[in-house]
Amino acid sequence: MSAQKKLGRFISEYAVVIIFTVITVACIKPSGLSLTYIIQEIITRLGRNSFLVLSLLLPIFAGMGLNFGMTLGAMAGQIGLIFAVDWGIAGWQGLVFAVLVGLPVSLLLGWVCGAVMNKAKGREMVTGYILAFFINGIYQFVVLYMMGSVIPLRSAAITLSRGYGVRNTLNLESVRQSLDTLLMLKIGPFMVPGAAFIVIALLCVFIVWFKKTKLGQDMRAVGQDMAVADAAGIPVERTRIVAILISTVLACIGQIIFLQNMGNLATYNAHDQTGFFAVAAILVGGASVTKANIPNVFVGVILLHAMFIVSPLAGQRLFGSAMIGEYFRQFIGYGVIALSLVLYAWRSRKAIDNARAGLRQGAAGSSGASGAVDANNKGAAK
Amino acid sequence: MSAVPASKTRKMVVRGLLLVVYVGLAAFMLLIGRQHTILIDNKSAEDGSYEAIDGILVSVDGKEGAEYYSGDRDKATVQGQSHKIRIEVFSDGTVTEKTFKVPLWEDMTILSVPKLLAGIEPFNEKFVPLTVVLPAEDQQQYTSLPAEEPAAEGVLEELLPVLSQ
Amino acid sequence: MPKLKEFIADFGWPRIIIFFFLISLFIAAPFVGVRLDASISDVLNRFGQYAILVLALVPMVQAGCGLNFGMALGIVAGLLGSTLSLQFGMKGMFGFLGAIVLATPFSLIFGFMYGKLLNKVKGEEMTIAMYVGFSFVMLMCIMWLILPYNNPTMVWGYAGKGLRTTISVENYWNKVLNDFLAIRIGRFFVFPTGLLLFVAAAAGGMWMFLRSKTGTAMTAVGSNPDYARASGISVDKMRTISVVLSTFLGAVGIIVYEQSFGFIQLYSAPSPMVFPAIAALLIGGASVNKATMVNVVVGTFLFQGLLTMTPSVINSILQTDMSEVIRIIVSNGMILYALTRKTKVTK
Repeated sequence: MSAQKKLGRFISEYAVVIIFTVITVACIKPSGLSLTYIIQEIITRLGRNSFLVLSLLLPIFAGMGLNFGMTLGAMAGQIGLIFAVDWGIAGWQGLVFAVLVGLPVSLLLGWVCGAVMNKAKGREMVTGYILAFFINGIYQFVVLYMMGSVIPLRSAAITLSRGYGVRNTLNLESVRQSLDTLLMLKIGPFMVPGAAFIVIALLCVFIVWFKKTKLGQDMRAVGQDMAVADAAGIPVERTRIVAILISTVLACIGQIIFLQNMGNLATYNAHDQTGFFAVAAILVGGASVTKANIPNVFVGVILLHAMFIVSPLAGQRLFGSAMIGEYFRQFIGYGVIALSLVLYAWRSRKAIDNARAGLRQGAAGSSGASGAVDANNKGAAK
Repeated sequence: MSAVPASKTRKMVVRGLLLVVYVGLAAFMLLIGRQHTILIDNKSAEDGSYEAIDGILVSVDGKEGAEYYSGDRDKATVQGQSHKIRIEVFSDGTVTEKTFKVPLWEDMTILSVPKLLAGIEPFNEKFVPLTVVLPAEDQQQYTSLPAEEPAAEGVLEELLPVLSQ
Repeated sequence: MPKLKEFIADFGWPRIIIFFFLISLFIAAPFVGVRLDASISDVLNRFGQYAILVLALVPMVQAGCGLNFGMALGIVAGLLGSTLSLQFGMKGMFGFLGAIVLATPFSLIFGFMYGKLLNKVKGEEMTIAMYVGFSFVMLMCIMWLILPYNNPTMVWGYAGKGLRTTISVENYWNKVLNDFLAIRIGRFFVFPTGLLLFVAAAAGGMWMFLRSKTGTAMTAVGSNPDYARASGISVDKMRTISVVLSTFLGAVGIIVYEQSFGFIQLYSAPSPMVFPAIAALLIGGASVNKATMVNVVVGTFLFQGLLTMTPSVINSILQTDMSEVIRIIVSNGMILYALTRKTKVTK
C-alpha cells in the first residue's frame, strides 16, 4: 500500500480522535483555563466516569452494539442510593449498601433488556435507546408515586411535602466522595482519588480475565457471527442476555461511583444523559459499534471531557454568549457521535464492496485474463 | 446418589449461600455504616441532680474535640453503634473516658455530659426534634414531574437537557 | 370463523387490545366526569395535528431507509418557513400557505443532503439519523439566536434580537385549517373540517404517489433492492427522493401542527416531536420497511386517542396528575412493541 493510502487509512480510522484533539487544543487558549486546572478536572472525571464507559465493552464484544440500555443499570443504582440515604447509611458502607440494593434491580432490568434486544436483533441500539425511556417512565412512576406510599420511606427529609414521592434533589452529603476520600493521593499539584482508580483497575482486570473464560469466548463468537456460533452449539440468546446483564450491573455500580463524586442526585434526571455520555466517550476513544477495547475507554473519557471542559468557556468568549457556548458544546457532542457512526458505517460498507470487487477480480484472473494479475504485480513491485 | 440430583442440590446450596452472603453483607453495612447524630449537651438538669460544667473538652471516637461551656450544645456525626467519648475537665484536669452504644434505628441521640460525669445512667437517650422544618425548595405542589414551559401537548420529555457534567 | 382468525392475526393482538382499551376509556369517561364530546373533539384535533408528521415517515419506510429518526431536519425546515411567514407578516390562509411555500426550498436542500448521507450508510440509518437530527437541532439553536429576525412578536423583548422559545401564531394563522368549514356542536365539540380535509387530501396524494411509477419503484427498492437494481432502478436515486419527500412532508406537518396548536416551538423542541410520530406509525401496524395509509390513519388515531384519553380518565379516577408519566410509558412502550415484532415477509 502506498504511503498516501496508508495516511488516508490512518486518518479515516482515527478521524474522530484527531478532530477532538484539534478542537480541544484550539479551545484551551480562548477558554482562559489553566493547564493545571484542566488536568485536575480530567483526573477527577476519569475517576468519576470510567466505570460507566467500561460497562459498554461487553455488549459490543457480543455484537450487540452500543448498549443504550445501560441507563437501566443507572436507575437501579439510583434506587440503591435512595435507600442508602433513607436508612441513613453513610460513607463507603452506604455505597456498598447501595450497590447491594441496586444489584437485584439491575439483574431484573438487565434481563428484561437482554430479552427485548433478543427480539429485535439487528436493531439493538435503537431498541435499547427506547427501552431506556420506557423504563424511565416506570422508574418515575415508582419513585414519584410508590415510594413513600406503597414502599415506605423512613426519612421525611427526602420525601416530597405532599407525603409521598422522593424529592427532586437528594443531598448525598452522607456518602459524598466516600469512595474518593478513602485513598486520596497527592501527586504533584494534583489530587488523585486512589480508591476510585483501584476499583476501575480491578474492573479492567476482570474484563481482561472474563474475555478469556469460556463464557467470554462464547460472547466473542456470538459477536462475530450468530449463525456460526449457533451451529457450534453456543446458546446464542442466553449469551447475549448475559452480556447485557453484566453490562447493566456494571452500569449500576458505575452510576453510584459517578453520583458519590457529584455529591447530589437529581432524582428524576440524573440518568438521562448517562447513556449519551458513555457512548460518546467510547466512540470518541476510537471504538466502533463492533469493536472496542479498554484503551478506547480511557482515551475517550479524556478527550471527550477535555473538550467539554474547555469548549463552553471558549464558545462563550468567542461568540460572546454563554447560551451559544452551551449549544455549541452540544452540537459538537452529538455531531461527533453522528460522525463516528457515519465513518464506521461508511468504512464497513466499503469493506463489503471491496470484498465483493475482490471476488469478481479473482474470478476474472483465474479464467486466463492475466491483465489484472499483472497490474497487481506491478503495484507490488513498486 | 445419582449425578443429576446431586448437581441440582449443589446448585441450590450455592444459591442459598450466595443469598446468605448477600443479606449478611447488606446487614453488616447497615450496622457499621448507619449514621447517627450525637447531640452533646452541657446543661444542668431540671431537678438539680447534675450540673453543667464550665469548661470541658469533649471528643468522640478520637476525632477533633470541641470546647463546651455551661449551656452549650453541639453535635457529632458518627457511624456505627459503639462509640467512645473522652471528656477533659479544664478546672481540675480530670479525664473521663466512656464507651456507649447507640441503638441502631435511633437517628439522633442526646448525650448529657454532666449526667455522665455524675454517674447517672443512662446518660444518652433518644432525641425527638420538636419541629421538622423542610427547606423552601419543597414548597411547590408536586403532582407530576417538573414540567417545561409551555405545557405543550404531546411533547415528550426533554431529550436534550443541559449538560451539566 | 377462520376469516375472523385471519383478521386477528393480521391486525395483531396488541393493536386489538389497544383498540378495546381505548373504547373502554371512552365508555368510562362520562362516568368519571370527563366530557365525552370534549374528548372526541380533542382526539380529532390531535389526530389532525399529528397525521401529516406521521405520513411524512412513510416514503422513507417504503424505500427501505428505515424509520426517519432524523425528521427533525424536516421540522426545522418547517420552522424556518413559519418563522419567515411571521416575519413577513403573512396572515390567514395566505400566511399558512406562505409558510409552506417558504419552507419548501429549505426542506428540499436539507432532504437532499440528508439523503446523500443516508445513502452512504445503508444499514445503520436509524441510529445515525437520530444523532444527525440532534446535532442539527443544536446547530439551529445557535442559528435562532443570531439570525436577523426583527418582528417584535417573535424576538426577546429586552434585547430585541434572538427568537423566543415559543412564538404565538395568534394573530397570524392560528387554526386557519381547523376552523375552515368547522362544525360546531354545543360548547365543547368542534369538528375541525378543514384540518381533516387537508389530512385526507395529503393521504390521498401519498396513496396515489405510491401507485405511480416513481412510487412503485421506491417501494421496490425498499422491499427488494436487488430486484430493483436488476430492473434498472437507481437505488440511490429512489432513496434520495424518499428522503426529500419525507423531509418536505415533515416541514408541512409541523406547520399544520403549529396552526392547530397555536404556537411555533423553537430551540430543542423539534427532537421530541419525532418519537411520537414514529410510535404512531408503528402502532398502526407498519414495520421498519413497510407502511400504508391505513397504518398512518389507524396508528395516529390510536396513539393520539390513547395519549388524550388515558391521562384525563386516570387523573379523574385517581385524583392525581400522572399524565406525564403515563405518556412516557405508553408512547415508548408502543415503539418498543413495534421494534420487537418480527418483520412479516408477506404482503
